Amino acid sequence: MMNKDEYIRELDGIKAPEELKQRILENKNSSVAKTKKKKNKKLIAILASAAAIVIVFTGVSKSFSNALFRNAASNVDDFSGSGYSSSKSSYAANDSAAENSFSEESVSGSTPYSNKINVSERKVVKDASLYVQTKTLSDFIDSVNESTKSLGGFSESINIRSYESGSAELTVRIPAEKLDEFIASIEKSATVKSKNISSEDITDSYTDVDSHIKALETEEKALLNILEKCTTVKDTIEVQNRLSEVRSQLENYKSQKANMDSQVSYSKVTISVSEEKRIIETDDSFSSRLKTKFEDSVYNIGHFFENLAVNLLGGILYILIIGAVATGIVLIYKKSRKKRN
Amino acid sequence: MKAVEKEEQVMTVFLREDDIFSFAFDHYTDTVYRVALNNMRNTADAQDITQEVFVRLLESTKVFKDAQHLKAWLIRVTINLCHDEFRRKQRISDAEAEFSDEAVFDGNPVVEAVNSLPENYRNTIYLHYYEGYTAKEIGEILGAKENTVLSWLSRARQKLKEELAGGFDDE
Repeated sequence: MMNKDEYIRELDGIKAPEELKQRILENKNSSVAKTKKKKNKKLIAILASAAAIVIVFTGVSKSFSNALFRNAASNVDDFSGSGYSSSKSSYAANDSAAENSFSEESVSGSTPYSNKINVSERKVVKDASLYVQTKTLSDFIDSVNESTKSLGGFSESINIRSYESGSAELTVRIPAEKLDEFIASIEKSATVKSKNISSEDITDSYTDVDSHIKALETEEKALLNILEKCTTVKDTIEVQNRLSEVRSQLENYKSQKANMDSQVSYSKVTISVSEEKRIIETDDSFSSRLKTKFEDSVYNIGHFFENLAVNLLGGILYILIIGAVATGIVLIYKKSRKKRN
Repeated sequence: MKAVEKEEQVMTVFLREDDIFSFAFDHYTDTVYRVALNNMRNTADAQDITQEVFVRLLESTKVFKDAQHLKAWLIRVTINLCHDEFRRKQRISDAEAEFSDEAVFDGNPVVEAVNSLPENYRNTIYLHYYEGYTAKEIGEILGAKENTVLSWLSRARQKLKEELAGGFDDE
């Protein structure tokens, strides 16, 4: 394997951590909320208080309503926040407070909030990356597609790096419980040079997102109640604005949750494949290495002459044209010399 | 499905999609992180840079022609931010500007050799061999002429030949 192949294989193993992806999405939510909240700074505090009173009257626990207050207060503070780091930490602090208070409720069983998060099932994302060599790239791609389909998976992307050298990167999604079966099928259809299977437990992040969704759904219901009681156009518009913010955040979190569900249900398999005219089976003994090196030399020399022949024969037309032009020039020159003489 | 048809399908999906942020997040987060890690060589800085790139994307009003245009923009912004951050650290203290000992690539000698190259050589090697860009495309990303990029590529290969047994892409 050339050093560049090793370089590519090593980089294939570099993926952005899940926590980083979560933070990026939180930044997006924060950025969307910040622009709108600049106009409704006072309203958020009033509506949060109103929502809290409604929630208390509908029987949700005191600690959960405090979490809503803290969330509203930190959003107000974000106006003077200096960049994404400060909003990131305030979200983190409030998230853990919300999660802690919520899990206490579910353990004690005293809350009338009936939709409890079931964390007995861990959420684990299992992904794999393989580096393989194959004789024919297109045949390999077809066999991967066939295996993927038969196991109930789907192809996410195909990136042909170079048609000349026959290297590509395929990304497929396979049902998590069929991952081992899929890898076994790849091992049958190509020479696997390296294999990396990783597991990441995202239960905490998942629980976080679920808590957000529940809190926002509660706030949405409370705001709808308030909306019914609004008597002026101004109040109605303000409550509707807040409602659309809450719904926008809800959509984002639901999308995150769906994304996480998809990642847990479907393992991502990245296959980096290169086409080799000869596949070299590794064996470290002296005689085997000597044989491999000798075969390499024979192959390289043969390849060199093959290329030379291709270039000469392929370029024969150019040689003929240049030859014809050169002959023409020489003849014209000789003729003109004769005339002068 | 044949490989070329699948690529065309991916491009068509992008053009119909309105949410550029979602597309970039789904398809290029790993790419951005990889470029940042390649330049900053510690995970903490690489993560900060990656976050900042997506903040810039949110704030940007740029119109992207297609997925490749978006990807190139993301890579360019990432490299520029890494460059700025490195210079900022250098101004504070020369010591801080040195790279940490964090073994982000598990001490792999090939990757270490590439990462020990000067910034432009390193990025050129990465963009050409890993991302598959041509010299012209790399020039557009790094803000350099095609011939300059070809020269960087050649010198980078030469340096790697001195560092690594068997060179980098020698057959």
